[in-house]
Amino acid sequence: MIRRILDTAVFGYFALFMVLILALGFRWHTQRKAPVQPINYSHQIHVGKLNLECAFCHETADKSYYAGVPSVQKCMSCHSAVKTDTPEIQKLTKYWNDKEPVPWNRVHRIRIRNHIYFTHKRHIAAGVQCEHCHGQLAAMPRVRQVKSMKMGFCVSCHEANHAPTDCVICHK
Amino acid sequence: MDRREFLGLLTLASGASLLAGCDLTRKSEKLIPYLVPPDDGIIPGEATYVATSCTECPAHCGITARIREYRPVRVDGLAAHPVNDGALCMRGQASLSRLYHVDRLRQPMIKDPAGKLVPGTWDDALKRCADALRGNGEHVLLSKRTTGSLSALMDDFSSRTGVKREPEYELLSNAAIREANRSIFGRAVVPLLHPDRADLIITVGADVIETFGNPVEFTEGLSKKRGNGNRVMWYHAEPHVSMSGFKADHRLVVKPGSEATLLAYLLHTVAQAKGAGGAGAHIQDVPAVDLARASAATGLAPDMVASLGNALAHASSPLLVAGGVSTGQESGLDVARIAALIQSACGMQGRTIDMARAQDYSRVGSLVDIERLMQRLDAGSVGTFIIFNTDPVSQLSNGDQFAQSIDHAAFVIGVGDIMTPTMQRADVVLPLSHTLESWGDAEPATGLLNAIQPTLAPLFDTASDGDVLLRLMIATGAAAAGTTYQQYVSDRWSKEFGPGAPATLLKQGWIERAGGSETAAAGAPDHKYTFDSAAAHAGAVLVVAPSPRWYDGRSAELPLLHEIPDPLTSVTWDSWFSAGPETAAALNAKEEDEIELKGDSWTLALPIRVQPGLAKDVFVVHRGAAMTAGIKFSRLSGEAGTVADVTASRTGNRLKIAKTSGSLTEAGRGIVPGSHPHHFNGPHPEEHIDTAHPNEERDKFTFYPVPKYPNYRWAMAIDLDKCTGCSACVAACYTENNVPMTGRDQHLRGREMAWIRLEQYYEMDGSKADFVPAMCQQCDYAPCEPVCPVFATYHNDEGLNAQVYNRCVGTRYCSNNCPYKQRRFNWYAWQHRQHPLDLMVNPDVSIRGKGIMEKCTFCVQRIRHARDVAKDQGRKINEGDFTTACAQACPGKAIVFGNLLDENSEVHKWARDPRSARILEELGTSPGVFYLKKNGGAEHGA
Repeated sequence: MIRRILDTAVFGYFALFMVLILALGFRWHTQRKAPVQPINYSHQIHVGKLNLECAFCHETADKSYYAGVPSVQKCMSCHSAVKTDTPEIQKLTKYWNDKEPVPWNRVHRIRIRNHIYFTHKRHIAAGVQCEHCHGQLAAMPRVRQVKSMKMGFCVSCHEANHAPTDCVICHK
Repeated sequence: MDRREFLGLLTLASGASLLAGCDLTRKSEKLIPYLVPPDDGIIPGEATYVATSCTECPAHCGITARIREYRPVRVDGLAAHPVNDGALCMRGQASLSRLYHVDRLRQPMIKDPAGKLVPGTWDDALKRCADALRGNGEHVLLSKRTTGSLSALMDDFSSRTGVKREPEYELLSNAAIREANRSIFGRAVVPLLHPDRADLIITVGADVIETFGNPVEFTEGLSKKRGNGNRVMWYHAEPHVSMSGFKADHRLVVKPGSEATLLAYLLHTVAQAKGAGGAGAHIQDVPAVDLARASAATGLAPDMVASLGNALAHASSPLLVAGGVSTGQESGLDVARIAALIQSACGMQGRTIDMARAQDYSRVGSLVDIERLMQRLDAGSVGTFIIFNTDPVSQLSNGDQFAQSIDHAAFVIGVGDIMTPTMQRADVVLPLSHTLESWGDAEPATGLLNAIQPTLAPLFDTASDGDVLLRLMIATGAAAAGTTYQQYVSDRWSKEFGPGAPATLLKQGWIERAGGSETAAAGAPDHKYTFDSAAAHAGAVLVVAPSPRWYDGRSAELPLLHEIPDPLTSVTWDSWFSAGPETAAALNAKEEDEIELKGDSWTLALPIRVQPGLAKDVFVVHRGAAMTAGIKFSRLSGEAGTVADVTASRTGNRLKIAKTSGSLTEAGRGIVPGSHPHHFNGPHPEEHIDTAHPNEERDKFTFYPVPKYPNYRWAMAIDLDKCTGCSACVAACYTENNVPMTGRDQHLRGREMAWIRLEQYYEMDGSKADFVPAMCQQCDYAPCEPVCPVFATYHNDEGLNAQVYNRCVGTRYCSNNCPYKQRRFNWYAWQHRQHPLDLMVNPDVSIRGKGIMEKCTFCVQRIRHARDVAKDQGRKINEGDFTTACAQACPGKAIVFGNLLDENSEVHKWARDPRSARILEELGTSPGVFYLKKNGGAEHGA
């Protein structure tokens, strides 16, 4: 009898342990894919409702390696007048008044980024749509990573579109 | 406890620790936007370029800084600059690492009551300086050579604050040459040279390829001349071995101290054949030397001396220059004077020697001036002593005494970028910005001005050299508050070069005043020649040579210039004596035995490196390699030169010398193209090069797939005739490709990481040496590729033997299988750099981690960028769109890079040159690097 209780307790302990690990793993997963941002900026409103072009804010996507994150000044060009009374915009105004850039959290945390040459410019020039990699931002209240951004994802698209698949095209 | 219980507990414990290890607060990566975007059109991720000036040595080449995200990541020679035309030497390439030097001063330092220098503020430091400058006594300022606006500002500073400007201190000051030109022609200048206009070059001691004058300009001129198919005969006379000596057609090994005798013979031979020319009555003063005497004194064969005299007398446009170690000895002034008379007699001035376009050394003093300054300091008459960006304590052989003299000044203001032994003596140290953070200008030659403009905001709380002077002036009330050096230089540019000058300077980087060439007439003879044509030095001789890596020792502050091997001996991180095999045998010494040299009042013990080609009883040490404490040099001629009558003995200690090459000869293996009958010597059959098209006859010998190159086959060609071994390519590669530095311990284990190895191969008898820049040969049938178990190295369809770093697992099979030994393994994580050195990273190139193999990529990041630009314009990459870092840096224009399939490309032409050959071609690797054999190489051949 004691033996059985003990066995159940040990089993229970491990079951609890597994559940805990799974729960943590899930939370870590979602957290990583869709980090909480210092300001609850919504692509849903800006892209979905207001129909802003991606390049309106991500100005250098067609010019450079980097797509570019809009400057705080750019945000303030509208928000010095628009919706100034909401708490999120007040956060933005505070950054602007403190002369601090907004410390956004990176959504696409690609582990080997420093080994990869990925240029937004070439992909835009080739006619790849932003949502192909970044998903339907118009429907996202909080931005998350929708594609794996692993080598297989890149190569399958390169092959389908007859883009170069030589290793040193991307591996630097 | 039974087994099951144990396992259960273990699982519990490990489970708990796993939970504890789950760090939910893992730091998120930030994405920081601009607060306000820049209005200068800078796009993050795209490089911009700023033209400015190199200030690592007094030659002042024009440079262009490549800027990414507001910090310079690379410096290159400024294209079309009159001095260096796009090339840049090893020291210039390495000067970027001075900006990011970990030991840079970060704020003013002020001496506390305990006598220790502690960080302070500018206000406090300047207040103390101003108080001191109002104090009693004579105030003096000692700087290194300054030109242009800085020199003008120093004059203003001097006149307004009453601080006396001392003659400038420069160790390699060419004082003998200036004094000779002053006393004969009335012009104390160091003329620049035009080897491209010469049909005969004679250099006596002047290391024109390493440090003398402007080495980059000389190498380019020589290369241009030789490249046009003109053979210019070059004789180089010196007691030791230099790169210039090996590059000359005839290296004349003269006995130390006999240079004046040789030149006197040449002068009289020329005068007999051509008349005295411009030298006039001076010739009678020079003691007559006949052929037998000249031959006996120099130790050269009479035939050789006679043919040298003949060649000079009959050359239509000769160039003769004496300098370096030949003018840095007791008879140095005689050497310089006789050389100047020969120049005048042969009419070189205005043709091959430019008196009008000279380096301005008029402000520079000599060791005599330093001695006088020390006497005044010792007498206690100096109140405030400003030491401006120079380090005499570690450079002078009597540096210890100089340090004590400094202490006699009432107050010492040090101005510098690194805490040198001189700066440690100061009461207040004002930190200098690097020139890449500063406004200013520099004057490489009379009438030519380089702009210095900032490429980034100062990394630390420092000020530019001009601003330091202005701040001192403002603090003492000698200048209006708010005056900036930027305004000062801009005003001066407009004043000196016209109102459009500032715009031209900022855009083009330099401006030149039109000026004709000019000759100078000799004045009345007034000199008594004291050289002794009969004397011979009894004992051994120590030659203290300027270092190709460290110049006069100042660049030894840069670790990169220790990591890069000395081109002649391959020594990296150590100090050493070079000695010939005979000398070593006489001492019964082997390589790395410690040898002690004794002079009248000094001893110096260093390990020896046995270097073929050095005459018996000649020891060579580089400036900056060791403290030359106590050695007495010629007071006039500076501190490069020969020290006679030393005694050598073996101490019995065995030491280690860090070096990259164990043997300096190829021992007859036939590695160097054209050097040996073993080497494939004929021109290439076309099909050997043309791997683009299938060729059944050729391809049946390989069982590997024949590479197909649809568009490009990147290839390189290197002209060994133009290569001087200067190692500019090596330094360029280090900074372009983020090549890690490993330090002395690792070098002793053979773990250097350079992607270009400058190989030096001496003839067994030391009469000649070949320099071969060797990098990954990018073979068509690369032996490294099939052995990689993970496909990390593979062949791409552009001929590149590519390396994928994050696929590499570090088996090192590829390195074992590379016959060229060009693969480098990261044994440790060498790239963890201290701040601010962590900023000196080219963002286009990966940082390789521990356990990763790396090697030359043919600058694949530059290919990638060129492809991007070409695609934007809807075309293929054209010849001239880009080149590799090594080819861009090369002063001799010895390296070309391009598409072998493009019939109009240089590399296509060079590869099909009759001189073209490839290294270890018999292995069937079919490399993509072609070497053009030295002219005259055939004489070794079958």
